[in-house]
Amino acid sequence: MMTMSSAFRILGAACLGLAALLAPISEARAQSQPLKLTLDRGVVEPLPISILDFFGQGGTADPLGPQIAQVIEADLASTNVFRNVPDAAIAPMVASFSAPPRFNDVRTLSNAAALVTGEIGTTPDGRFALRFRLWDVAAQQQIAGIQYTGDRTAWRRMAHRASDAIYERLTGEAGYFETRIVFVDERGPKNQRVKRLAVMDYDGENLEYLTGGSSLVLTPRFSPRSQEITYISYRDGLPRVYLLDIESRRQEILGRFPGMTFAPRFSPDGSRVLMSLSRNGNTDVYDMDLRSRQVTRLTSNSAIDTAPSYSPDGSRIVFESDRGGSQQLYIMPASGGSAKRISFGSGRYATPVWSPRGDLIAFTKISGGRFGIGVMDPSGGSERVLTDSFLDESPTWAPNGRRLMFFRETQGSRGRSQLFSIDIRGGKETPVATPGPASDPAWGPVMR
Amino acid sequence: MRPTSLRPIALVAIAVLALSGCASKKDPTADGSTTATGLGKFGPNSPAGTGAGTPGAGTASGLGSGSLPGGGASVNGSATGDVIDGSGTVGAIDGSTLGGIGQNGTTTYANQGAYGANNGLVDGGIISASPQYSDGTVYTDTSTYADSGSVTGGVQPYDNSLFDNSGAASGTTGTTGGSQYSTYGNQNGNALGGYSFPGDNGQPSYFATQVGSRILFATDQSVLTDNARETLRRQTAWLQLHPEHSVILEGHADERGTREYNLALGARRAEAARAYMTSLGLAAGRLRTVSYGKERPISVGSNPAEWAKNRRVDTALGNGASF
Repeated sequence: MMTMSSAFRILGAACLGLAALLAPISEARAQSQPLKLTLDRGVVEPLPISILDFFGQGGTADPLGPQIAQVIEADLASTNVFRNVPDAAIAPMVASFSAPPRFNDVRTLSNAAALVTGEIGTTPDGRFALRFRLWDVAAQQQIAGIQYTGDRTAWRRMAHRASDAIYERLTGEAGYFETRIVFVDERGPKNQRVKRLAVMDYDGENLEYLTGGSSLVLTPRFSPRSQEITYISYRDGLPRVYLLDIESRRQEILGRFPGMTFAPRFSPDGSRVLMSLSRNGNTDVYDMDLRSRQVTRLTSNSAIDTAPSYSPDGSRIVFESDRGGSQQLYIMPASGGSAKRISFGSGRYATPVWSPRGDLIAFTKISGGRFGIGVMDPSGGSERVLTDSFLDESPTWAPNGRRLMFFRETQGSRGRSQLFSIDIRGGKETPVATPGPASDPAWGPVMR
Repeated sequence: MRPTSLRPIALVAIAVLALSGCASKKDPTADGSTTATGLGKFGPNSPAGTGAGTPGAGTASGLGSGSLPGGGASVNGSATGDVIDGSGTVGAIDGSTLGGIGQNGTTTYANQGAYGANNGLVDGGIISASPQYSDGTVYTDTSTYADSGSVTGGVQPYDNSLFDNSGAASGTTGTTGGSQYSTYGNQNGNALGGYSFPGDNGQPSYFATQVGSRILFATDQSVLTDNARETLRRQTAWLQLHPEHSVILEGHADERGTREYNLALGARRAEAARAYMTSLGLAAGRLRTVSYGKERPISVGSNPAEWAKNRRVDTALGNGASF
């Protein structure tokens, strides 16, 4: 068993201090149009924003100052909602963290609509503090001023939390930057793959391996409520569903079933795990209460019923089944019972995942020998296929339900897998940095 | 060494013995209108016997695979009632001779109707009889023929040897002139149910290379093809000879499906193989299934020919007789 890295222990154990709101340092001016993006109709023009290097303590230079700014820049730019404006010309217009920017000059020198200034400081009781102010350039007004405290080694996490706050203030939607991704790290040739579970910050930092590679592991899924994952491992010789607490590394098998279990996924409150059990060649959907370990069989069908996913209110389950002759998506009550087919387009539909917002279901579509990631509403309408390749598979939602991550595997004997993410409102998929080939991503909850 | 798994089969033999005895007491001129069931393929090396018998009427049907090729397994009883003639279609299943005690007039093996099971009696491939030959010798047979699932009209004892399937063949060769009764297996190998395994050393490597450990499937299908069934019959025959091996049936899928579905599809395929092998008489306790979905391709290219190789069930041998 691996031991926790010290860095992780600090991150996991040292809670970040409560955010303190910083009072505005300039008088609010009358504002005719508050700076706010509306994302529902897609983003026509990304908002230009400039993140200035954070000041060090008392105005001195701190090597973390530029790094914090870079993390926030990368967070915001990755959304396609924001566009970074270089801060070199603007920086001289901000004398210190406690002075308001010279807005008229900022407007002359750049087209930045929003500005972020920040400082690294120390609290009176000696703790590390990260402070920032978000400015509306046109209105010449502070939109937000927040301080986070914690261990200095947790600076990245604080920067992500600042990004989340900026994103939330400007879009009205929850951010997703202080999150982690669990995925399967893949090494070796196609016919001798070694697969390990790995976890990292959503942007690829702070990578840690959770398994050693001696057993085949697949399909990790994050709890929506905690730093726990469920996944399948062949440690016992056949696939079984496991539960793993990332922080304690405590691991346990979920149930001792007579057949193989796979396709696990947490309920929205994290108290239950859906899974498939194959018995005598027949695969059905089961639900396990994690506390009592009581198991409920939800489908009884000679078809393949698998890849179940709860609706965010816990009342319904979407899953895939070939009961009609080919893989399609069905919805049934959370207690089981009659299922209604919702996918009727061409081809096959697989791996449905209900959005945390409840408005959409993401899926893998197989049509014409191609694989793509798409979304539809829970009634089966408004289908949109967002990607297309030789093999795109396994969508996972950002906690705010606005972005999907998935993996793409290339063709041929040297085919390899890579993670991508895409804004469901449009835009192009962008690669997610991983140390090597990667598959089966699962987006974790915001870590607050 | 006598494989322990023969014991349950020997028990079956007792029951068959009784049946055989009844049949042998009947008028030997009566036709052998009995029903034969068996694995479906027997004694490929056995030429049909010839003789002066009168064809009788009988039927044979293959276990699990419908009717046996060749249709009726007629047991021929001669006018004298004593010569059972392997000619014609006696148990001719895929060219083998069932119940075929080849005789011609010159031999002294008159077969006084004592081949209890020669009348096409088939039951799990076990025959016991006390044949009496025209030379007055009574060949009291105490053997059990554990050729499970085979048609045993063709196994006639002509000595008191115990056929423990180590080097024993079931499926008798009826030969003209009566000079040869049967091929009792390959001198250097094994045979069972019509499958011969020359040079068999019982090792997993032999199984993989000489028996055949892999069956293939059509895209998104778990139905056993004719080829797959034939391979599984051959595997089953070999595994019956080697009860020391437990078996893991590993279901696989090609890369053109999603991960979870392919795991389920591989499970379906492994189960199809398991169900068929147990229907052939292989003890369920020796078999276990697992699915690897698309995780363990043997062919790494991305084209239909290579995908076809990956849609498979591999039969892996484990240690120990059962799980």
